[in-house]
This record gives sequence, structure tokens and C-alpha cells, in this order.
Amino acid sequence: MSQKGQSYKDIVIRQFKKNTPAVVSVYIIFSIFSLALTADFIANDKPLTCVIEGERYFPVFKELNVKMGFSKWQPELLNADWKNIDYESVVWPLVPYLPTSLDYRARYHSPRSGHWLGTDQIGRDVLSGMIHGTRIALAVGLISMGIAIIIGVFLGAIAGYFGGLADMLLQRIIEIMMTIPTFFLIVTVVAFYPGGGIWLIMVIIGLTSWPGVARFTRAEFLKIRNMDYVTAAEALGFSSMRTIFRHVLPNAIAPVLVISAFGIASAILTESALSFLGFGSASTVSWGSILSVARGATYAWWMAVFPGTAIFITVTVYNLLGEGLRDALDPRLK
Amino acid sequence: MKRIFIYIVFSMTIFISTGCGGSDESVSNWDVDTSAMHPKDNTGDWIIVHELSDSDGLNPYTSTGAGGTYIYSQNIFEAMMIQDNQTLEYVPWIATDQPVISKDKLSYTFTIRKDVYFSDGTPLTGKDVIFSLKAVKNPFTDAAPLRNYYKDVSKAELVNGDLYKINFTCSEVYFKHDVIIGAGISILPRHIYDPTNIMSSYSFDDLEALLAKFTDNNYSMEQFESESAYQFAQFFNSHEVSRNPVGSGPFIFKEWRTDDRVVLNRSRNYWKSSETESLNLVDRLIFKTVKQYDAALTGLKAQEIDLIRNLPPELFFNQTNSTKFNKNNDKKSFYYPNYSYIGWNNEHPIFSDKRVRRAMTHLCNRAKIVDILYYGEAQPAIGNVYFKRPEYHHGIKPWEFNPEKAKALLADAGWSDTDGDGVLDKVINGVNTPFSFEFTTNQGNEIRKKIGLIMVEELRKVGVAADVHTMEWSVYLDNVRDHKFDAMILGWVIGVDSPDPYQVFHSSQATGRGSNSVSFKHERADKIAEVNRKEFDAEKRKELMLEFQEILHEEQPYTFLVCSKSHLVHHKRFKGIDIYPFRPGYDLKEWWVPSAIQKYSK
Amino acid sequence: MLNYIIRRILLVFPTLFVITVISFAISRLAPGDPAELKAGVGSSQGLSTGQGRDLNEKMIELIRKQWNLDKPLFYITTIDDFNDDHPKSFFSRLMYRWNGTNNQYHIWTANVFKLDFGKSFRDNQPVFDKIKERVPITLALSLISTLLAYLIAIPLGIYSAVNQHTLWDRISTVTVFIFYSLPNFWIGTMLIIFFGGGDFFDWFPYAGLYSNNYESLSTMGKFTDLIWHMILPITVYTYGSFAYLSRQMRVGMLEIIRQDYIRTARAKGLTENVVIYKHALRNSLIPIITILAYILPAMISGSVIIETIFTIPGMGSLAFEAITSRDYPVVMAVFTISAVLTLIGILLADLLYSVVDPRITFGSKES
Repeated sequence: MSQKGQSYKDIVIRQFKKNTPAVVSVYIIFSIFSLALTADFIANDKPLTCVIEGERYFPVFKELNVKMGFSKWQPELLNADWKNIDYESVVWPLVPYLPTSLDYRARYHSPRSGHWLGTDQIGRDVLSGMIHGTRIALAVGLISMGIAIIIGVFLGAIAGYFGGLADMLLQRIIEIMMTIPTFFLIVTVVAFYPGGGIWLIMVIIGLTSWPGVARFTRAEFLKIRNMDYVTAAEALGFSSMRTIFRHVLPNAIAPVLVISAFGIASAILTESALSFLGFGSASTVSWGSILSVARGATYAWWMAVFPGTAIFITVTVYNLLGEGLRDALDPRLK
Repeated sequence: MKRIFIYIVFSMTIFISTGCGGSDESVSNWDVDTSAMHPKDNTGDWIIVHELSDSDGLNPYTSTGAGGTYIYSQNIFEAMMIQDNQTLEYVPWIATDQPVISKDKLSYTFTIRKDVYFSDGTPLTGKDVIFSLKAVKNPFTDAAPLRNYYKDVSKAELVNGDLYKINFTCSEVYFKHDVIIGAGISILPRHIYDPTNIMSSYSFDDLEALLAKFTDNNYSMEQFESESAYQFAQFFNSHEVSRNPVGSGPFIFKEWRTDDRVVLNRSRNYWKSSETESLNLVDRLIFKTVKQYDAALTGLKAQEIDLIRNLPPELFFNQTNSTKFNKNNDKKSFYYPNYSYIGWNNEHPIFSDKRVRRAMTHLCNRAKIVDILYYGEAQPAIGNVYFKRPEYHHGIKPWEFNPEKAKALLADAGWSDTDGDGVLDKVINGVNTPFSFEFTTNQGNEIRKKIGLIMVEELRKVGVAADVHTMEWSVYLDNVRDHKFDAMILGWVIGVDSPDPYQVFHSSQATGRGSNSVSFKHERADKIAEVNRKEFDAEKRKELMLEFQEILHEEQPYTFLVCSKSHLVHHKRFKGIDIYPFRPGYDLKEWWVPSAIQKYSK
Repeated sequence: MLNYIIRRILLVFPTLFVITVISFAISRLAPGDPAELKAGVGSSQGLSTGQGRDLNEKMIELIRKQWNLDKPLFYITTIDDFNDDHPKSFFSRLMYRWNGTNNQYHIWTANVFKLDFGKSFRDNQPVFDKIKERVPITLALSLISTLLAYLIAIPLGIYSAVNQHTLWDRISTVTVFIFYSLPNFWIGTMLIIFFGGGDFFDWFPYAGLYSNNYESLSTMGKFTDLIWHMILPITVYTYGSFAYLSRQMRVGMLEIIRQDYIRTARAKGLTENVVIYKHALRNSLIPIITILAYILPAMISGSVIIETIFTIPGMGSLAFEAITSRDYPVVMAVFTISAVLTLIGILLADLLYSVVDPRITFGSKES
């Protein structure tokens, strides 16, 4: 018996909390997000703060300011060789490397003190790469799926609800989009705009993923629109838009959420596949790019295990989240 | 459900363990004592050679993949002269003697043997040689790069109708013409490649005229199509022809399964078999396509592949040390003529200044690169000449890695950080321009990419913002030829013969998609290159080349990187292996396997 | 029903038209001049004659003529009207020129209907022959993998749904998640290295589809040899899709089970088996069938990576190489053919859909 006075949202949240794996996933996703936001402070080749000859500096903050154009470097710190400065006192970030820093003395080092997750052939620290790679992984997933969902849900809902010409038109469009071999399309586009880098890849993945979302949304709408409560809503005189978005959509959203979770996962996998084939900027370090190097160097297990695990965790976590949401939103499961 | 699932897994396990036919461990000792053996008594067995990609064809004039050359050159097709593996001199093969060269160096006369015949028994005559050159000169055949190469060889004709004496006339003097004509023309059987004998109705002058004619915009495709030279070219360029090569060589083409393998069988009908008893001893050559080196290496370890040439150092130094590997395989490393380089676009506003290019070279840590990327098995390059050649300038030392000097040079050239953002800038054409640019190189080449990344880091420390970009090979080449790059990382494989820098460094080659992609223009260098081409005295050429290298060293149009070794891995059962200084470094015709340990039979 | 089928099939044609336009546009959008590419294909050592008009220039023009690259791209070309000095807007300055049927697109499409896709830029082989060699391989691998995926996923999903929250369910959930997250190219490489006869086990071939001595095998031997070569690639194809499918199956099944009519069936006293397989299954198959239409294109795309790793001469590797070497005729052909195959797949999926769920109406809603 549900209590009176509880909003739909409260019910959903309460239901969600019962699902432990899903809740844990939320925390993990939150951590990943924080990692992505604070990457500059956790892994950087400059000190967080230091004192040189009596003056206190904040190099990491300074760099952010300079990058955003708000200030300029003090002349004495310009392109300084941070590791070799005589500090009076210094606080380094947790991981004192950028993903692009080359530590020539530590090439292909297995995990050890100094490089906790090991290094690659030219001395790039894997841990730093992993931390900064969270940004790319999250961005890839969110941006591409975001685009896909916005387009897909909107079009799918309209087609499924109104049927007729709208449905037929959308179905044709979806068909066309689905028949185009998306991977080839991505490859061709990336070849056309080699300067597009990873952002172009994200947008393209999004633009080629929306049909899947639309099809599911449409299928759900097809099933649901003949249900009684929809007929009731229409009898009550609600406008179509209101019916769609306030009444039908919350019920139709379940498979969409599941698809988004899988979609984010697959977007991350697609990006690593593209890195494997050699696309994207060569100097951008992503989980996929670290993994692709590991291919030719199977003895460097740390280069395969860590990014692979990171991908696995991120993907799993999104899946669990999706499933948790689905279970919580489904009115029939209470 | 559970039951079905278990059943599936169970049956798959059974299937896997019974269905495989892996290598057998029966013969484990490949070190047979060969002192009492003669190669010619041990014919047989196959060699399975790894190829990284499928060639696009086996027509020596229209096919462009480098891999194809290794398949057909000297195996299927032959030329009048051949380069001796040991002495590197060009000696007669189908010709009887060295060519007779006229005093003005414009006429070359070759006399060929009368006992040569193609694999189908048809005798080879001077008409086939002339036909081969005509096929190149025909403007409609897909042989554009070669046509350019032979542009100064204007015609060939029989001397007084003698079928075995051919005279070549050249329009320009070039010291390499004897080699280009003698060893460069693979002789095609006219009766197979031109069955209706179209080309004999065209003289060389006719072909030149044809070339000039078709650029006239009034010419339509229909008019071309009626031209029989065009019809010949359609046939010559066709897929069927390039897939069924026929020549005079010791191996004949058997089959080609696309993206899988090309098979050549030893010819039973080779015209030179009695003189080449110790050569061509294996029954079959199989060229197997495997697109990834690590998969190929796995294949070698599984004894499914016999030979991989040019294994990347990464794999060579880390993955060829297991006991399993050493039980069945050997490896060899050797230098061959090549150099890698960073090409600075001399027309780029930033790199047109010599001081900047020199600064860039001072920021190139060659020692590190050799150590990290080549595992020490390479040496710094200082110019366009192979270090084993007599023309190599031993007095030149590469500009050392010195960031301080680099900074001074850049400051000298007008670069400083006026806005304090960590990146140098300078006013160019009235605009304050930051020192930022891109390295471009081809996808798939890990070493080049990493060289770029190493450079990027070193550059960052002195205030230069650079990035690395990779692109597909054909796009890359296209951009390189159109000079659409800031800095490119590439390499040249050079011949083992006397250097000729004209093609790569002469200013005339900086236009029209020539090979001087960096637009290097230097008056004295131009002069040297031109004179060198016409100089027949090797000593004089050496002097010229020494000066040329000094100019290159001073101007730094390229930052010369390294000359690297080739790493070869092969199965232990092969004997008679010798390593030579030119690509690919070995001659399969010399390899043989003692009968007792042969692996494959016919 | 028949009406629907006919209409459905007729609608394929406009879709086909758009597909050909897009295939054409996509390959033309890639940078670089195909004529220039063909003139200097593969050769990094072009020699320029330097004086006056270059040999190369002439060559390139001839190639353009030969391959129709000098003709306009499409039926209509837009040109800026340079006589208009005071344009009202960007668009009003444009003029249109009708090119009739003498344009590249039309010539190409007309030939396509005759199944003539032209000749490859790279080696002049008729493109259709190239594809003919490759399609069966990719199709075979894709279909077998799809079939396997369904065969494994459906029982797995049903069992998980029916036995929700049991140990089995939890284990299979975790396992499936693991499978789904592993990148296929990585798994493929690992499989080759560990099982392909390298330093570890020698259970499977390291690459390709045929053994060295394929010719000398008996028919049965050839068959076994092929299967042996296909096991690793099919494993890589399948593990990802069956993971996804089984999750979908589970989700769908869970939804259905909670429906009232299932409760009714149980209340009626029917055995669990009958309840599940006779009543629940049919409806839960709906989303699964929808996915079929989505899986086929994924297979075709995924074939690029897998075929490259295992050196399998299929359509994926052909397409990738064609894009890489800018072999336009092949690129367009592959796009078109895979699009057509997918179209057929979608059609089948839709028809199956209506068979399984007659409740779904099509066309406008009835009031």
C-alpha cells in the first residue's frame, strides 16, 4: 500500500534505494565524475603549491588561469623545468605526471613506486593517463548518448504516438540511417576532417546511435498508446503533447534508460576501437589508446589490465544504473 | 536450459581438442651438418614468406605495392642485367655482355643471348624487350610513375634487324641509364601481353605524340577508344593480366587467393637451369598475407610461416626470446640503405628560416630515440647517403641535442614569449603568431608516431606548442605531394647504388607533385645535383656528394633521424642464407633445405 | 496484412534511392582528388619533369576522362551568379544548372542496376567480382554468430528471468556484464596470442581461413578446416552480442512475467513450463526481434576489426582498405550492398514482428 502524499519521484527513489548494486553504481559514477573534474589537481607535472626563494606560488592554478586567458605566467616560471627546481617547500599532486610527460628513465616499467600503474614505451605514466582518460571516457559516453537520446526519443515518441504519415516517414528515416554501415561512416568522416579529433568522433557516434533509441521508443509507444489510460487521457481532452510527455513517456522510458546505459558502454567501446585503428589525435591519451598500445606488447600486462578494467567498471556501472532505474521506474514492480 | 548450455560447452570442448591440427613436434633438431651436402642434391620444400598486405597486382609496370616486387622481381620476370649480390656490380644475365655505350653517353647497345625462353617455351628476343619499353611509354597504361622514370629514354630499336641486338637512345645524359635500362626493364613476353601485336604499329615517336595529343580538350573519350593503343592499355591494365603473370624467370605463377596468399612453383622449364644448379632449389614459394605483425609472429612460432622480414623492433626484442622460438627459428639483424627524417615545410612562414630548422634539430634527441624506439639498433643519420657508401661524409657529426642552443637560435630568429602564456610568439606579416604547428605521419607506424611525441615534449619545454597527427597512408602521401603539412615524419629507402639527390632535393622537383615535398631550394645544391647526373667518374661524383651533404647539414631542410636495421626472423631449417645490403636483404633463390628435414612436399 | 506487406516492399525503393545518394556522397566527400590518387597510387617517388606542363598533369587529366571524373557530380549543380552585384542573400545568388543524365551519380546508379559497380581504382578488377568473393564469407560468419548468439541468449535470458535473484541469476549477470564490456579487438588479439600457436597454446590457427595444405584435403577435411579457422573469429563476434541479447531477453521476460495474464495462467493451474513457454515467451520475443534488425549492421561494421585481426578476406576488411586507399568504386559498392542486406534484414524483422504480435496495429490510430 503506497502512502498518500508521496510524489512519483519519491516512490522511484525509494524503490531505487532497495537495489544495492545500483546504488553502489551511483557512488562509483559520482567518483568517476569527480576524478574527471579534478584530474588536473590529482595528476600534473607541476606542484600544487611551492615556495621558491621566499615566494609562494600555485603553479597548477596558475596554469588553469593562463589557459583560460585570465593571466600570464610569471617570467621566472615560464616553461620551468619543474622537477629540477630548488624548492624550499613543495606540495606535489598525488601523481606527479601529466599523461604526456615522458620519463625516459622509466620505460616499460611494471607497476612500482614512482609509477604506480607502470609506464609505456616512451615513459608515459599509465596512472596519469587513466585519470585524465576518465574525462574522455565520460565525455564520449555522455555526449554521444545525449545526442542520440534527445533526437531518438523525440522522434520515436511522435512516430509511435501519431502513427500514420509521421510514423511512416520516421520509419523510413530510421531505416535509412540503420542501413548505412555506421562504422564505415565514422571512418570516412574522421578521414574527411582529420582535425576533428575526439569531439568529432563523439558527435558522429551520437548521430548514428539515435535510430536505435527511436526504434525502441516507438515500439513502446505503439504498445502503450492503445492502453486504457491513454484513451482516458484523450477522452479527458488532454493535448497530444501533454499525453505523450506526461503520461506515456514515463512508462515508455524504461527501455530507453536501459538502452542509454548500454549505449554509453558501447560508445566507450567504439572510441577505443577507433583508437585501435589509429584515429583520433595521436597525443590525446584515452583508455582506448593505452589499450591499443598494449596489443603489440602483451608482456606489458599493466597496459592492458588497467584500462581494460577501467572500461569494464565504467561500462558495468552504467549498465547497473540503467537496470536499477528501470526496476525503480517500472510501476508494475512494486 | 542449464542442461543445454552445459551440453554446448561440453561438445565444443571435445570439438576443439580433436579438431585442431597444430604443428607437430616430431622434428626438433634443425641443426643438420651440411658440410658434406650439395645444395643441388637437396631440392624441395617450400618457403612461406610473410607479406604485410596483398599486392594490387603482379604486372611489373602497373602494380604499385612494394610487396608485389618481392614476389615477381627476378622470380617471375627477369631483366638484361642483374645486380650481383656480393659485388653489387651489375652483370649480364640475359645480356651477353656489358652494354656498349656511345661516346656522347646517349646511346646504349645491348646484345642478348640466343638461348633464352619464357616459361611457355617461346624464345625471348629483342622484340620482347622493345615491347616492354613501349608498354611503359604507352600513355594509357597505368604506369605513370615509371613513365616519368624513363622520360629520358626516348626509343629502342633492333640494330639492323638483328633480333638479339637492341639499341637504346636517350635524350639526356644520366650516369644511371645503363642500370635503368639494363636492370630496370622487366622483360615481358610480347605474345602474351600483346597477343594481337598492337604496339608494333606504334613507333616511339608515335607514342610521344599520343601523349601530347590527349590533353587537347577537343578530344573526347570516344576518340580515345578508337585508338588501338588505348585498347591495348585497357587489356594491359586489366585485372586478369595483372593476376596471371608470365615471364622468363625460374618460378612460375600458380595461384593467388585474395588477401590470403600468392603461390609460385619452381619452373621445370627454366632456360638457365643448367647454369644455376645451386639456385632455385625450393619447389614452391608461398607469399602469405597477414596484416598484423604480431599475428604473423604468432604464425611463425606456430611454424606456419617461415620468414618475416622487417619485424618492428618492439616485437623483435621482446617477443623472440622464448625457448619455443629459439628451438625452431633464427633471427638476424642488419643494416640496409634507409633513413628516417622530419621534413620541415620550407615554405611555411615559421620554417622558412634556417635558424628555426636548426633549432628544431637541436631539440631532437637522437640518442634517446635510438635507445628507446630502436633498442639501440640504429645509428644517427646526417644526410641522404647510406653510411656504408664511399660517398658518405664521415666528417659530419649530427647537430647535438642541446635545448640551450635551440633557445638561443629561436631568440635570434625573433621568437620570444611576449604574452607570457608559455608559448613563444613572433610577429609575422603583421600578426602576432604563436609558435604552434603539427607533425603529420602515417597511421600504423608506431615508431614515427612516438618520434613525434618525443619531439612534442622536448618542444614544449622551450615554449613551442606542437601536436602529432596521423592519417591514412594515401591521404598522407597526397598531402605530402601537395605540400599540405607543417612538418612530416617519414623515411626513404634508398638504393644501394651511387646516390642521386636530384629527385628529392632539386628545386625543380618542388612543383608538380615531385618528391621535393619540403620545397628545398638552394642554388649550389641544384647545380651539384645536375652535374652529378651527368658525371660518369665515380671519384668526381664522390666529391660532389661530399659537398652536397655539407650543404644539407648546414641548411637542415630535413632533420635527419636515423638509419635503422632490418630485423629478420626465419625458420631454422633453411640453409644457404646470406644477408645482403639491399632490400629485402636476402635472396630466396639461394635458400635450400636438407632433404632429411624438409617440411613440405609437393 | 497483405496490404501491409505490399506497401512495405514498395517503400523499399525510395529508401534504396536515398541510400545510393548517400553512398555516393560519402565516398565523394573524402578529401583528395581520386584522379591524382590513381596517378600516383602507392608511389612515394614521383618525378616531376619540371619544365612546362608536367607529364603528371597530363596523366591526371587522362585518368579523369577515363573514369568520368570530369563530369558533374549530380543532376543539378549550383553556381554562384557572378553577374549579380547586389545579392539579396546567399541563396538568391545561386543559380542552378541542369545536367541531365550525364552526371557521375546517374551513370553510376544506372550501372548498379545492371550489377555493374565499375572497376576498382586499385587493380582494375570489376568491383562486383571483388565483392562476390567476399560477401559470402562475411555473411556466413555474421549469420552463424547471430544464430549462436540467439541460441545461447534466449535460454539464458529466460532462465535468469524465471529464477531471478537466485545464485545462478547473479552469476550469469556478472558474467554477462563482463563479456559485454570487453573490447572485441583486444579479446581477438589475446585469443590469437594465447591460443593461436604462439608462446602458449597451439589450439587454433593464428590467422586466415585456410590452412596451407587446404587443397589437398578431402571435402570433409576442408569443411573441418574451415570450421576450425572460424571458431576464434566467431567467438569474438558472438560474445558481445549474446551478452546484450540475454540481458534484453531477461528484461523483456521479467516485464511479461509480472503481467496479469501470466498470473491468471498460473492461477488457472497451468504448469510453470506451459506458462513460460506458451504464454510468456511469445510476447517477450518482440524486443528481441527488433534487435535483429539492429544486430545485422553491427555485424557488418564489426567485421572490419575482426577481419583485420584475423586476416579474413571478408567485406569488412575490403571496405576498410578501400576507404584507406580511396578506392571509390569499391567504397560505394560496399556501402550500397551492406545497406541493401541490412534493408532486407529489417524487412524480415518487421514481418516477423507482425507475426509474433498481431496486437500491434499499423497506420493511424483507431478512435
